[in-house]
Amino acid sequence: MIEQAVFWILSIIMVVSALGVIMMKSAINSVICLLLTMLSLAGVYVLQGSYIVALFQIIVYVGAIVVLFLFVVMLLNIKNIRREVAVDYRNFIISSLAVLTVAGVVCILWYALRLSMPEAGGDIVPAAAGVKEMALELLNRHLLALELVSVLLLAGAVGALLIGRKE
Amino acid sequence: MGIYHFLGLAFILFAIGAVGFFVRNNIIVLLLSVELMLNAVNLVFVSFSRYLHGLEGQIFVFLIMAVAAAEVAVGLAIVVSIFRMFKTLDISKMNLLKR
Amino acid sequence: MPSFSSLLYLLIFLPLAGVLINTAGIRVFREKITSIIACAAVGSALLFTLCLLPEFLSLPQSERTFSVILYQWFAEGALEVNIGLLLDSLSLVMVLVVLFVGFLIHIYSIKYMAGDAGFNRFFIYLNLFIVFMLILVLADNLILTFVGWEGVGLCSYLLIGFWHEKKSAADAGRKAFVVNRIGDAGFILGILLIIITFNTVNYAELTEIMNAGHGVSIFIIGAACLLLLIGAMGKSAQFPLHVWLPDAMEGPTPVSALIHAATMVNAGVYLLCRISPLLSQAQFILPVIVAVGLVTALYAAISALGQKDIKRVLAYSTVSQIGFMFAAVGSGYYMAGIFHLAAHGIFKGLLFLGAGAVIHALHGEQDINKMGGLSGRLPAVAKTFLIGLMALAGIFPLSGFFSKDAVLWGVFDSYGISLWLVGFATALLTALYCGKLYGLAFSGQSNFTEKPHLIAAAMKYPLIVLAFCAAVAGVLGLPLLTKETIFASFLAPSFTGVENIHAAVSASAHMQELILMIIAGIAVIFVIWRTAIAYSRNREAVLAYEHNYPRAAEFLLQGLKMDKLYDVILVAPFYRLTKRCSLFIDQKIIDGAVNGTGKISMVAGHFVSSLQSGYTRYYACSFICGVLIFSVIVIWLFKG
Repeated sequence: MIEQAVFWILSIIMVVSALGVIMMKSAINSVICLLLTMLSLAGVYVLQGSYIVALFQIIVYVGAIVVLFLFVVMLLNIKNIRREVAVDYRNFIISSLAVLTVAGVVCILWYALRLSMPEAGGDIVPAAAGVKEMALELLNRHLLALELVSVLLLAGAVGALLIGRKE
Repeated sequence: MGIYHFLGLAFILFAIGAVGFFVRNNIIVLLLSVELMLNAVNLVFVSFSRYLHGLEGQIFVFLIMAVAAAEVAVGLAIVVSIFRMFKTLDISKMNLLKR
Repeated sequence: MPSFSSLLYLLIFLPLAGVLINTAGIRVFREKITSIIACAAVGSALLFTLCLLPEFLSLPQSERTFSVILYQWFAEGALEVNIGLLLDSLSLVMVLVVLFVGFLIHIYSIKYMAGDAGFNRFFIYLNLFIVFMLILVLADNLILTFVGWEGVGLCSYLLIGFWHEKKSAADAGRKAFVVNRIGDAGFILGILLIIITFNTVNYAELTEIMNAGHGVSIFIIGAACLLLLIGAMGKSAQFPLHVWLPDAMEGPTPVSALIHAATMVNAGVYLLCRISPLLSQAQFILPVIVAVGLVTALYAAISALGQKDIKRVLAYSTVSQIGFMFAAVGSGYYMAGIFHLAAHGIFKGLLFLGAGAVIHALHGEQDINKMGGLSGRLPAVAKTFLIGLMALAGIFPLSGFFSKDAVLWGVFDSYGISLWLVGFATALLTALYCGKLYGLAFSGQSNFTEKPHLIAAAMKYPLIVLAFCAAVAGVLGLPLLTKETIFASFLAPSFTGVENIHAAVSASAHMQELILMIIAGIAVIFVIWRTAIAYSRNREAVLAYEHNYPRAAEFLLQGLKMDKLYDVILVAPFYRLTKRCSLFIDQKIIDGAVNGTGKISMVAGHFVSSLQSGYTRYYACSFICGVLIFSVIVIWLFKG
């Protein structure tokens, strides 16, 4: 019972803050809203019993990505950004078309989901998936993917340096 | 709480991210919207991982997070250099792809 | 196991090695290195053949066949085609002629081609020609023969058009190519007919099938023979398909000697001998071959009379002599044909090399009317040339007498006096143009003022060797008046069971033969002597005929206007057709289609490029629309 309450509270926080991400006028407010979204998402992970993922969520997203966004927003020091709403009518048309399409995509995927899993089975029970199992899995079967991702990260870091440097 | 709760939440999150990508003009907010969509996908992965009692979904989430980190690093570097070049972050001002 | 015969493939690989080495060094090698490698390649092959010869002769007659299968090329059902070599007495004769004449001509060419920009290229082509010619004569099946056949054709075109910057040479090469295609089409169709009828292309197997009861209609065999005959006519420049050979004289003179006189053009005769088992089953084809041969011989001899260019005289004479060989084959006297082939290869090679020496000495002058009195200036060339001409005309102790006599007798024996008269007339005409050639070019007054080039030793000695052979090769035709000459008995194993129809020769036939031979011999001597005298002493008077009858002279000069005839019948209508096509089909339809395509894509491009706004949002929008469409399709497909 208490889980349901926690779930609904987290969901509401998440949706509201996600809406805040895309509706705040100032970029810094959007980033703060994203932070809130990430935190509530981590809460949902905890609720599901995926403690490791929740931990990573906080470390990676909250600790690294959001901080990086904050850095950049503050670094660029954008003051004279005009209030940007889709003023141009062509932009407006494209945007509304895209939004409708997104709605269509989401709906059709939901429909597909219902088709493939007609009865939603048992509840998601909070069962512990320990660090040990996770680590064994990651370093045995998925070792190649792990290494490739590390290479990707390295390349991303180098690429970011290359792109971001002053001429 | 069934899996549909979590999936529904993920779908809503994804929809918000996608809509944000189309209605906003600020590049940074665009990147934030992409993060939202990635997180929605993560949520789907984790939910199915729990539902099917496997670990692969969570491993995938782990990898996606790493990819997202790399993407954000490169993306923000691009944002910085775009800002240096155009003195603005308005996506509707940039049509370099045409040339 | 014979020691040399197992190395039979060396015969082909030695010249091939020469080709490869010289090709590798085409930019690097100096003339000396190239010529040494090329001559060594051919010379070693010749040496190898000579080593092979004693071993070959030591075998009993019926077993004189070496065959090696190098590789199975392909097998399709019962048909099996091997890359196999077959050396029997027939191909041995051919190999000896090819390598012997070829070797001498290689040596001759060193000096003849010295200083030419394409020296290395020339020797590569020559060696390549030897390779393909050996493949042609050594092949043990029709398809491999065809490979060599096309290969020598290729070398022939390359060498005719050797000086391709000269338009006439390039045109001549193209003409040879086009005319030979007609013959080759016949050859291919003949091979296909044989394949579908007998399921084999191997000569030995074909002979076996022919000797056993096969139950195939003789008309099918005859059709196959006729098709192969067309191929042989194309390659050997027989009557309707002869037009390329006189033009082929545009190539360097050693090439004319090697390819267009001594070896390649005889391939048709060789082919007819190879399929002699088939011919002996389809007897009704033989008159066709005789007709082709005699018509060609007479026609070419008449044309040769009117030629001014020394090489064209010899070219027409080559056509004429090959006509004699065809006549011999058509009479069933294969051995006489091959004997004439070998003798002709030697003396015609000699004549061409002599002509080359003359042209070389006179700084490229080829018109015999402008020559004269060369016997004083070029004694060695004049003497050897005279021997060659006498052999060609068929004067008693020389090789040409024996071989031509054998051919004429064969014609008389099979077809009676009337066809013999045609052959006899041709022989007289031959003597006539031989006498004219010698009288105009070598005796009498010189009207060539420049000092002639000296003839280098490398050019002189091949002439002398060839002249010696031309003089004494007649020994192989001994004893006279019998079919069992030395040469014939050597060749006999290749024709077992084929030529027996003419075995019985009565004593009266011997007498007739003797009488005819004496008549012919005396007439020929008389004619050549009188003509030579006439042309050397009364040069102006004889030449005045040409001025008095210019149209007749022109008619003869152009080879009875055969080229003109082909132009009117074939080339002009084809030209008009292609012109129509180019105006209508090419310019209207094809160009229209091409330009139309261009216009459509331009319009489409303008339309599509307006979609490319450059704004990220537009691209993202089309992306998500694509996602929607794709997911709708997938879900709709996999729903049930």
